[in-house]
Amino acid sequence: MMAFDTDTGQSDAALLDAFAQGSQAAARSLTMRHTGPLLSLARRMLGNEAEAEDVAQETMLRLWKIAPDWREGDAKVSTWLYRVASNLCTDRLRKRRPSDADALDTLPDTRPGAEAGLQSQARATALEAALAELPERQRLAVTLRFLQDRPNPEVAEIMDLSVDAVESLLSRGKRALKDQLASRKDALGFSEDG
Amino acid sequence: MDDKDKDLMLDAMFEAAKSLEPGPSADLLGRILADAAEQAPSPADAVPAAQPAPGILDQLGQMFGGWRGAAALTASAMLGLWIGYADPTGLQSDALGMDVFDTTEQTLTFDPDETSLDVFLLEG
Repeated sequence: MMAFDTDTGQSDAALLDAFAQGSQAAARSLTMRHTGPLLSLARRMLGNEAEAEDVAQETMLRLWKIAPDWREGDAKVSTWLYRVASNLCTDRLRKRRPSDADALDTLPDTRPGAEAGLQSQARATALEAALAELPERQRLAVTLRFLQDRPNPEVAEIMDLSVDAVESLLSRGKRALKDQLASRKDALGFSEDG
Repeated sequence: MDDKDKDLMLDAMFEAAKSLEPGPSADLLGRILADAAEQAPSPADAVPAAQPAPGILDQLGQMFGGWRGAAALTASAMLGLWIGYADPTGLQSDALGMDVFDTTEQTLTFDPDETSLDVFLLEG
């Protein structure tokens, strides 16, 4: 992984312009910067590692293709990437048949197994399970806002919604998560007295 | 557990999920970079970097054919000046013994009598 770590601190738009001029170093920086977040989003939306990797790869491929025509000021590169990845996930979810549910739960379990990390692991696993129960739009909004740390206006731009509509989705999504997880608070290490 | 406690619980769970998120595999990164190499523009397709606009001196230089043209123009002008002001004595005879400049005074005369209609009629 370190061999790919060539982030130069340049803006995404500058790197994309450099790639359009033929710089593979710029491609490496963009790949290192964005593949992780895109993969993370796709995992939570699809619940399947292979499909999530396909979405991340396809999203980056579209970035390489659009690079020569990219105009700075059109949109943030990261916003554009999240939007493409979100749309690809939505397309895949709509094409799924009921029997495809068997393909879920194939995410890699590479989390630490040390005792100190067991509670964090249990919390992360419980959250992923609760997220998977949310309706698609709520899951996307919650993931972008609270797990990808995108601000509400950017979430609205990615989802092509108003900020008010995003806030509504986030409110309903958080309430559903809290209702699901509160019943397991003791098992997850959240006692009544703090 | 009141709503505030539930918010704190949820925040802690978001943090746990973010901290334990596995990164992309080297295989995936390699596939993405292979795509990038495949999509890389050929040198002919690369958009050239913007060139600064030429200054007024550059534009004048181009108007006269670049630095070579300007040098030739200057040399021609200097030769013309020298020919105009130099003593012509040295140019009286060239290598072939011919006068380059004939300084003999020549006068055109006009006699109205010789050109009259009468003379013409007499001499045919």
